Amino acid sequence: MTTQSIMTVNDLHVHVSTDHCQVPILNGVSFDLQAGKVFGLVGESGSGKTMTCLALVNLLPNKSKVVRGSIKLKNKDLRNLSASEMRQIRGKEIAMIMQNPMSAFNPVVTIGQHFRETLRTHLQVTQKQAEEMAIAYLELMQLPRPDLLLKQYPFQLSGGMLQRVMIAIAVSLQPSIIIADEPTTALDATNQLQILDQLNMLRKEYNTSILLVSHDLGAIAYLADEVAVMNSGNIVERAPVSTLFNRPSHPYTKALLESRLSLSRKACETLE
Amino acid sequence: MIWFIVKRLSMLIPILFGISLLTFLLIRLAPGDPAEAYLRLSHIPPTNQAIQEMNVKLGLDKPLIVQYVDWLGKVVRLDFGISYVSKQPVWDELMLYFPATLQLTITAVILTVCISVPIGIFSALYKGGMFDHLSRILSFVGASMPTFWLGFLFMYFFSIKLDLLPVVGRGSLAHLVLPSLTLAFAYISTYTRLLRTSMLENLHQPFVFYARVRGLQERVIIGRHVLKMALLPVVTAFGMTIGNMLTGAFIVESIFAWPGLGRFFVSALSHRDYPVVQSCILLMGVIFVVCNLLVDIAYGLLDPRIRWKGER
Ligand SMILES: Nc1ncnc2c1ncn2[C@@H]1O[C@H](COP(=O)(O)OP(=O)(O)OP(=O)(O)O)[C@@H](O)[C@H]1O
Ligand SMILES: [Mg+2]
Repeated sequence: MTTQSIMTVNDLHVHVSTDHCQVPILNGVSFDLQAGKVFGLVGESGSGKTMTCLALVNLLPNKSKVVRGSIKLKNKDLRNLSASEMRQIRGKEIAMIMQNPMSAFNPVVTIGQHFRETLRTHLQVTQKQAEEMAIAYLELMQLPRPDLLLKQYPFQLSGGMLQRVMIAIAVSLQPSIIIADEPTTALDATNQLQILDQLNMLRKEYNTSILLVSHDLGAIAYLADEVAVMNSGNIVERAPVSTLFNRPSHPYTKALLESRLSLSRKACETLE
Repeated sequence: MIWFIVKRLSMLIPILFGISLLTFLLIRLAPGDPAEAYLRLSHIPPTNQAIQEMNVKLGLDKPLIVQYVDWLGKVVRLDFGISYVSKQPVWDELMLYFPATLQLTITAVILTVCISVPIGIFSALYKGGMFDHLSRILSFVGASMPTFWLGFLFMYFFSIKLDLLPVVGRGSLAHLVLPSLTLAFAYISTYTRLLRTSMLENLHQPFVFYARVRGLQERVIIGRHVLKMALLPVVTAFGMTIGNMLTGAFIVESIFAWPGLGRFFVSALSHRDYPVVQSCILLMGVIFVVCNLLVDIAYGLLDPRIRWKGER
């Protein structure tokens, strides 16, 4: 089976400018995302996973910017696009699922409004059509009573439901890529598994490429096809998921896996 | 939503009751004797006998509770008694002066909203820019200048020096400009600052980032998402402001010889015209409460979290 490369990131360098100097955050990150595949990104806190994700959609925080490298989406270099061209790609071609669903939604705007405005920004549809689409995608995410849900406000929904709404919104525009930066961190265990299953279903159904960032090696092992390990702004190892977990080659990867294993071993010991 | 409004309305009844009681007691417990005041204003020598007769005539000899019930019974039928000075029904006099005050206050409110909302938004969006600095200076000046001084300044500059606008009185639209601007000025600066701060607080919320992630246009993000949140504290503060503005109107009225309730009230006070004073206080209280209620309802419309509180 041939795989189709959707996005190629090559030699990405991101710097943050402080008062005195430029601090490198990413030093030459390269990877590619393939249609229908899940690309996992792991690494310790502060290694630059979130920065990588933000660079892809050109939403880096103030004072930090891409200084070198290319980000190609289907042979289009995103770094050469104007602000408004980039805006049209966000949501439509590259969707993103936020880490904390509870704060991502505007508390005084209904779920329906969030959904409809997203659809109507990128598609020529009426309010009515947007509403029907929203209901269809909420049903796809197995949310009960989508018609009522659309009239509700974010605070009336649980974190798991909001995360599902967020995924429904992301999928509704059938993007080529979904970036999920720790999509399950804020959720309880049952919801985590369901969300992962649903992401898995979606990438098969729509042939979407998923960039999955997670601290949870279990989630990565469950979903990812390929994994990259990041350490202080570099990808130190990249391998298919089974290879990486069974035969890690880089010392940092070994240390990372070992720390997780020793943690679970400790947990077992205390239980005994 | 209906429930929310009904709940707020039902809370209105005890509050109004409290206001009426307070107003009544305040006047009765204030130093001075209404009967004596009445006699003086009618140019009758206040002998002991005359005062006693007057007390009976005005019903002041009855127990306080009876007096209160009598008074309240008339008030709900909009019968506020007869003015000691003009011997006219107080209600008719109120209706003669009140529209002028209302006109002044409403114009000031409109000015405040129309000026401070756009300035607040733009100085938040272009924080640190020229416009922001300019608005900051203007706000500082506006907040630190006393109303009466500002009023005279405006009058001197626009009416006397430049001869653009009438000095005092009420009549044409031009008469309205200076008094309402004087009244609104302090509030314009307060609200500009308030909205600016609250816009800035919300500009970096996660929901703004999520809106960008979804590719929304910047004007939708600002106009729909940020502004809606930023207006919440502004609306809360507005409940207080409308009431305060009415009081402020009294000062402005006396500067610009605006024939409103303020001047009427002050002259009634100096004449010890008890029914008029009492009615004015009651009217102010009721307006204050009703404005707060309206603001509460507006807040409920804007913020669903308030609407659903205690209903879930
Ligand atoms: N707004 C910012 N301004 C300047 N530097 C930042 C900013 N945000 C993050 N950084 C720096 O960028 C580096 C990478 O951070 P990033 O958020 O990408 O890490 P991460 O791998 O996502 O970590 P975590 O697992 O905790 O989410 C860190 O060293 C951090 O200090
Ligand atoms: Mg992160």
